[in-house]
Order: sequence, then C-alpha cells, then structure tokens
Amino acid sequence: MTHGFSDDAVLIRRCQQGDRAAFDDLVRRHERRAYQYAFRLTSNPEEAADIVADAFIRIYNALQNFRSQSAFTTWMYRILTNCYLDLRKKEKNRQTVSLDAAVQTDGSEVERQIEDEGAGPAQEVEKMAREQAVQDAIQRLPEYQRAMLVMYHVEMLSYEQIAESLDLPLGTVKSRLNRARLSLRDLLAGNEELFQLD
Amino acid sequence: MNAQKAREFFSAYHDGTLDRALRQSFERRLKADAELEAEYREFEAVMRRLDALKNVSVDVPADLHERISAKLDKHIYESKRKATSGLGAWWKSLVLGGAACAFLVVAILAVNSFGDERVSTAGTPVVTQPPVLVEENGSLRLQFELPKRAQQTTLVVRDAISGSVLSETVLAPGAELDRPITNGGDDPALMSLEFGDGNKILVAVPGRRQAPETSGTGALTDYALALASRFKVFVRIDAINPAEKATWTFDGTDPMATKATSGDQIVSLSRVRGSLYKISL
Repeated sequence: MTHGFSDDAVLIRRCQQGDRAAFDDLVRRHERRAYQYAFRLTSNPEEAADIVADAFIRIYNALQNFRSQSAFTTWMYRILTNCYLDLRKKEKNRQTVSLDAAVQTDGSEVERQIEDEGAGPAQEVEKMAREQAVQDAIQRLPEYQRAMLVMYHVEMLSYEQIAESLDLPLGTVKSRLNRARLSLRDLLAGNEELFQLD
Repeated sequence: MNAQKAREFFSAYHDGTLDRALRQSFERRLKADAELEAEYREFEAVMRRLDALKNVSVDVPADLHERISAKLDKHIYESKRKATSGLGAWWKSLVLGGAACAFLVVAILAVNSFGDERVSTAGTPVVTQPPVLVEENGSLRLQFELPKRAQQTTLVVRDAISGSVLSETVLAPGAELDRPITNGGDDPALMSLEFGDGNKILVAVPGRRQAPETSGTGALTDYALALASRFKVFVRIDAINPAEKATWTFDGTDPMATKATSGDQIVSLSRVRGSLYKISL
C-alpha cells in the first residue's frame, strides 16, 4: 500500500505540473475501484459511470490544491460520495423501475423471476438470492447510511478512513454505521432465510 | 443497561471494542432478554451478509476509461472556450478583499440602481461601471451589472480542495440576490466562485483561528491561505498556475502582508508572466 501511495504521489506531482498523460494514468489506476464503489451505491451502471466521470472531472479541477496529506483514495472516496449525493438530490423525484427491484405480490416482496437456464446448484441460487435481498435492502437505506456501509463492508475502509473521507468525527462514523446496520436488520427482518447460518 | 442502550453497542460488541465493564453489562442484558438476544443474532447474520458482499463481483464496463476521458476532454474544451468569451473581460479587474468578518455577499443590482447609468443613443444599455466592492456592516458585497441582453448565469461556490458544491445560485439581470459564503471552520478555506460563463475566481477565506505561523513555503494557494489566516483577509488568487512555488515571511518586508495590514479592503495575490504583484482599489 505504501508503494501505491508513493506511486500516486508521483503521478499527482506530474499532474500538478500540467502533465495530462499523468492524469490519464491516475484515472486508469483508480477507475475500477471508483466504479465498483459507485455501482454499489446506485446499482445502476449508467449512473455509476456518470458519477465516476464527474468525480474525476472534479479531481482534475481540484488537483492543484491537493497536498497529499491524506491518501489520494481517501480524497477520491469523498469526491465520489459527494457526486453520488449531488446526483441523488437532482433526481429525488425521478422514479425508475430496475429489473433488480423487488415487486410486490400478495403483500410480500419477491424478486422478479428471471429465467436462468444456467442456474447452478440450489445452494448457489439461494446464496445469490440472499445477496440480492441484502443489496436491495441497502438500496432502501438513506444515501448517507448506504455510503457508509459500502465504504466499510465492501470497500474495506477503516472507521478512521471513513471519518477522513466524509469529514466526520470518528465517534459519529461509528454510531451512524451502527444505526445503518440496525436499519438494515429492520429492513431484512422477516426474511427467515437470511438469518439462517450458512 | 436497557435494551435501547444495548442496541447502540451492537457494533462495538461485535468488533470486540467494548471495555470489560460495558461488555459484561451488555452480556448480562442479552442473557436476561431473549428478544434482545434474538435481535443481536440477527444483527450478526446481517454483518456476515454485509461482509460477504465484497466477494460479489461488479462488472466494470469495458469502455469506462473512454467514457471518463471523453467527458473530461469535453469539460476542458468547454472551459477553454468559455474563457475566451462571455463576461470574461469584466472579471479580470475584479478583486476581493475582506475585513475581520468572514462573510462574502453577492448582490446583483438592477442597471437603474447605479447613479450614473448611461444608455447608448441607440437605446441599448451598456455596462455603466466596473464591478464594485462595498463593505457594509462588516460584510462584503460584490456588485455588478449584466447587460440586459445577457442570459442569466449561475454562480457556483465550491470548496476548491474537495470539489464539493457549497452553494449554487442563478443570477439574473435586474434581480437582487444576497448569499453569504461563510467559512465556519477554524482553518482558512479555499473557495472557487464559478460563473456560468466559465469564469472562475479562486479565493482564500479566513477561518475562526488566526494562524501563528509567520513564514512558510508552498504553492501560491498556500501563500494565500497563510495570508488569509494570519491577517483575517480574503485573498483572491489570480495566477495562471496557482500551484507555482512561493516563499513568504511576514516580517514587515512582505509586500502582501503590508497590504493586508494597511487597512486596504482589497488583497489580491497575482502572478502574471513571472512577476508577483498586487492590485488594490
């Protein structure tokens, strides 16, 4: 990781001197991770790609002022999260139906039935169904809770890195993450399969 | 420990970070409350499912890099294009300064509010005055006129370090608008005031704390932040390359510091063609 940190620092210095190719390299180093994070937040590939592109434009504009006091990735997560929250603000009233969204039948929610001729063993299907249920529930959380959960559990950021990314006190991050997990548990309550041991 | 309090400790207990006394109190509560214990078991299951998500792959579009590059290229092109047209010329002479107060207020006054409005004989309004800074009750107001034929434009105030938008305001000719831009933090902030025509003003805004440092080395932006923090003034950075290196010592010989302490309202840090100079009203 230290090696990666210094690689970023070298690229950033070159970018700050006007080297556009260096910025291109910087994007290539981080775009996959950025996209995966954005996709986890949105579950929408188009939105995720837009968020990543907008984030790298902001990074390009602000890179002159970046002082490398924190890791570039920490700063990148902050900008990605801000782009995501800005997008949500703009699209607050837009309603779209995703193929991955649950539909309601008879008062209970089930997944859309998508024929999959290549379905694996029953356990694999069950595992995928559980994963989908958790991802759907995460999408129903408030944006800020969603971002924190993804940062911690998927992107593997520490509490301290999340605090730095979101510019929040450490204690606030911990309590909000706890609240997010409790909310998720409430959303998933009643899904008996989820709480079965593997 | 009641059930509600115990729930606040679910994550800490799972992480193993509760101190001994709290952990024992928590465990006693779980033992005594079957419903709470069932909730905690479900919480643990949720944690396992969350941790498993990192193993779920996400397909990254094959053309992601091209999409990012295309959008960035378009942004750079449009920024350069806008820089050569629109309201550009007006802002070259615009400077911002500040007193002890950390408010920057943007106001647009109708053409008629300027006392010496001039109208061409053809009846087409012309710009009557260059942009004006007015101090009022410790606040700063930026006043300017848009020709009546101008389109409405948008002022975006952005944190120049993180890129996050702090406020966004539509500016229309004839309308009056007051929008304070404050820095509530202890440290100075770098803010970018971006106008819809592509013009941008980079300004260091002082925070609550006065910096004790009297010397430093860094970029022009760092110099501006140091001035803002030390002397509690706004400092506009007008340079082709704000990252250009600078060294400063506030020992009575620094010309910018002299300006900042002289009572002048305007402090502008500029470097054009290699020369560092200041502009003031």
